[in-house]
Amino acid sequence: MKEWFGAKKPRSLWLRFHVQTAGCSLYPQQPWLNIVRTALEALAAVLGGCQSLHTNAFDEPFRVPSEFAAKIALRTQQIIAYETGVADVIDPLAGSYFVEWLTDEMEERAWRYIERIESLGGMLEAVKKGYPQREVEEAAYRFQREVEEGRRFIVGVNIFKEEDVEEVRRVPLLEFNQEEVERRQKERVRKVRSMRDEARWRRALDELRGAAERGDNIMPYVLNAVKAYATIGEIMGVLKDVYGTYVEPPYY
Amino acid sequence: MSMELTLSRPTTRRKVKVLVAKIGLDGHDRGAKVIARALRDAGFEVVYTGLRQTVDQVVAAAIQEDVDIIGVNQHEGSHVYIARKLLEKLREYGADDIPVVMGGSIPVVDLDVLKNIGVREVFLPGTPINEIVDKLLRIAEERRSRREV
Amino acid sequence: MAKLYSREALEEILRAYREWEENILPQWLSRMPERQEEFTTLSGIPVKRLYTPADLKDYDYMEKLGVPGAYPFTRGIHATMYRARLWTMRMFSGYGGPEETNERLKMLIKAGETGLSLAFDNPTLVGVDPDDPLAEGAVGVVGVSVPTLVDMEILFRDINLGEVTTNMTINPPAPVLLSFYVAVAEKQGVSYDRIGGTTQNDPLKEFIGQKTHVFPPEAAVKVAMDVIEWSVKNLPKWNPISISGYHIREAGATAVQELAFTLADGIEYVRQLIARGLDVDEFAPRLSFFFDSHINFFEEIAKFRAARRMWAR
Repeated sequence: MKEWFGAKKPRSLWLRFHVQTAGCSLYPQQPWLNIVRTALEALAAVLGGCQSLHTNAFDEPFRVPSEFAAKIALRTQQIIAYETGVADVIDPLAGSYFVEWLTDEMEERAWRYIERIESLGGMLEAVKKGYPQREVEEAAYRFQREVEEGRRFIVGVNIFKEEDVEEVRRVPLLEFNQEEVERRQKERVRKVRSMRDEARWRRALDELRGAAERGDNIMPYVLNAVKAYATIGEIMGVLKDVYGTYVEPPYY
Repeated sequence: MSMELTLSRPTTRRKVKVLVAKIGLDGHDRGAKVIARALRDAGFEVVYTGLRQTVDQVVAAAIQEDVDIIGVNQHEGSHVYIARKLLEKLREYGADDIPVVMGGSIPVVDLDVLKNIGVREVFLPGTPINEIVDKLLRIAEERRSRREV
Repeated sequence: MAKLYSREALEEILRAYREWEENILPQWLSRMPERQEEFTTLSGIPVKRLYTPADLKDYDYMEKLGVPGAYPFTRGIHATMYRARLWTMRMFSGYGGPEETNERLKMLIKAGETGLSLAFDNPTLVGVDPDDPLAEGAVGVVGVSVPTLVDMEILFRDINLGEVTTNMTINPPAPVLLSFYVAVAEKQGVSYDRIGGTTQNDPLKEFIGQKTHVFPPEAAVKVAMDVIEWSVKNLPKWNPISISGYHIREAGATAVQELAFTLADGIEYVRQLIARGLDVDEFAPRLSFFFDSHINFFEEIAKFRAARRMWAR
C-alpha cells in the first residue's frame, strides 16, 4: 500500500483479517478428532495476530453444526483467550529464528507469484486466463498424491485408521425438517410478492435495470428495490439480464 | 494391481467410462476434479459435467455418453436428497442399471442410508485411489457381464 | 538500521553450527535416522532440523519487524493487540429459515460470541428464490434462506444492529444482502454511522474457489466495486469487502499461493477503485481480509505475519 499506491494514512496500511480454521483439514472419520485440529489451527491464528476468528465445529465438514458442536468450537477460542496466556503478550513468537526465517521465505515465494500475475496483466486478467485456477488444481492434485503415497499423514484417515467406530453413531447431528423449511420459505416469498405495492416494485426494478445498463453505481437502486420488497431472485434476475451469466468451462 | 485388471482384458474392449457429476448449487469442486484426473490417469475414460448440473442433465449425459458408472461428488448436506432424486430419475428413464457411486465428506451414519437408496459405493475422503479404481472396475465389470447375458 | 547480529557473533555461531553438523550430528543420525528423508511444510518449503541466527544473517529488526501498530506492522496492526481487546469470536452460522438462525444467533451470543457471522444457503448465495427450480432440496441446507427483506427482519428479531457487527459471506448478491441489512437497521432506528460488519463481496476468488459466481468476471468486479464505493461514502463503519484466501486454500492452494493470490486480488481491487477516481486513503482503511488457518502450525503463523508486512509495503 505504501510503496505501490502511496497510501499515507496508517490505517490504509493495516491488513485487518478474519480467520476461519481449515474446513479441508477436517474429516468425517472419528470426527471428534476435528476438535483437536481446530484448536491447534485456532492457536496459530491467534499467534498470527488475527482480528476475528471462526473455529469450525467438529461436524462442520459434513453438516451444519449442531448446537453441541458449535459451542465446543466457541469454547475452544475462549480457552485460548482466557486460560493459555497466549493473548497476554504481543506477537510472542517474533525473534524465533525459524519463525522469522519462514516468514521471510513465505514472503519471498509469494512475491514471485505476484510478479507472475503482474506479468499477466494483474489478477483480473490472470483469472480470465485461468492461471490461478490451474495452479490451485495442480496443488490439490499434488496433495492428493502425497497423501496416497504416504508422504503426508492424516490421523484416522491414512494412519491410525479405525474401522466402523461405534461412537460415531452416537455423535449428535443437527436435524431439522428441510422440506418444512423449504415449504415455509416458498410460502413467505409468495406472500411477499402478493402483498407488495406492485407499481412501486415494478418501477424500482426498471430503475435498477436502467442504472445497470448505464453503468451507474447500482447500490442505491438495489436498496430501493429491496425496500419495495423485490426478492433476491428478482433483483439478481435483472442484473443477470444486463451482465450475463458465467458458465464455468468443465475442464479438470 | 489395478493396471493388470485393465490390461488383461481383450484389447477390443473399450475403457471403463465414468461420469463425474456435481449436482445442484454446491460449488466445492476440488474433490470432483481431483478424482476425475486420478481416474483418467488410471486409465478410465472420464466425462466431467462441470458445476450446477440438474439431476435431469446428469441422467441425460449418462445415457448419451453411455457411461459405465455415474460418480457423484457432494460436499455437504444434500447428498441423501440428491441420491434419492438421481436414482428415481434413472428408474424413470429406464437407466437404473447404471450404477451410482458417491464421494465426499459424508457422515458415517449416512452410509447405510445411501446404500439402502441404491448407491453402490460411498467413498469417504482419504480413500486411496487404488481402492476406488478397483471397486469401480469391479462394478463396471459386473454390469458389463450382466448386459452381455 | 537495527541489525541484530554482529559479524563476529554470526561467524562464531556458524562455526559452531558447522562443527555440530560435522562432528555431533553424524553419530546421532547413524544410531537414530530421522523419521523422513526430507521434511517440508504443506506448501513444500523444506525445513531444516535447526535454525540459528546464521539463517537470519543481516536481519534488521526495525526494517522487518518494528513495533506493533507501526510500519511495517509485522508484529500487529494495533499497539496493544489482545492485551487491550481480544479478537472477535465470530462463529459462522446459519441454517433453515430465518427463525431457526435467529435462535442460533441468540444462543451463540449468550454463549459468549462477540460478533455475528451469517452463512447463507446455496440459493441465496447464487441469488435465486426458494421457489426457483434450481433451489429444490437446497433451501436452508448449508445456511439460512434469505430471499426477501421480511426474512432479514425475522433473522434479526431482538438483535439490535447498532450494537453488533455482522459478517455476511455473500458475493454476487452482496448488494442485495447489504441493502437488506441497511433497511432492517433503518427500521430499528439505527443510524448509518453505527452500522458495522462486513460483506465478503470478493468476486475474483469466486472463480478460483467457493464458486458461487453468477456474473462474468468483469461485471462481477464492477458490481463489487459499486458496493465498496457506496459503502465507503455512506457506512463509515462497514467493511464492504473481505478479500479472501480461505476459499482459495480450501480449493487446494498451498499456503504460499493463498497468501499470494489473496494479496494479488487486493491489489487488483485497489487499482479498480483508484481508476474510479477514489483516493486510496479514502477506501483502504475499509478493506479487510479473510484467511484460512490450516494444520501446519508455524507455516500458518508465518503466513499471517508475512501478509501484514507485504500489504503494508
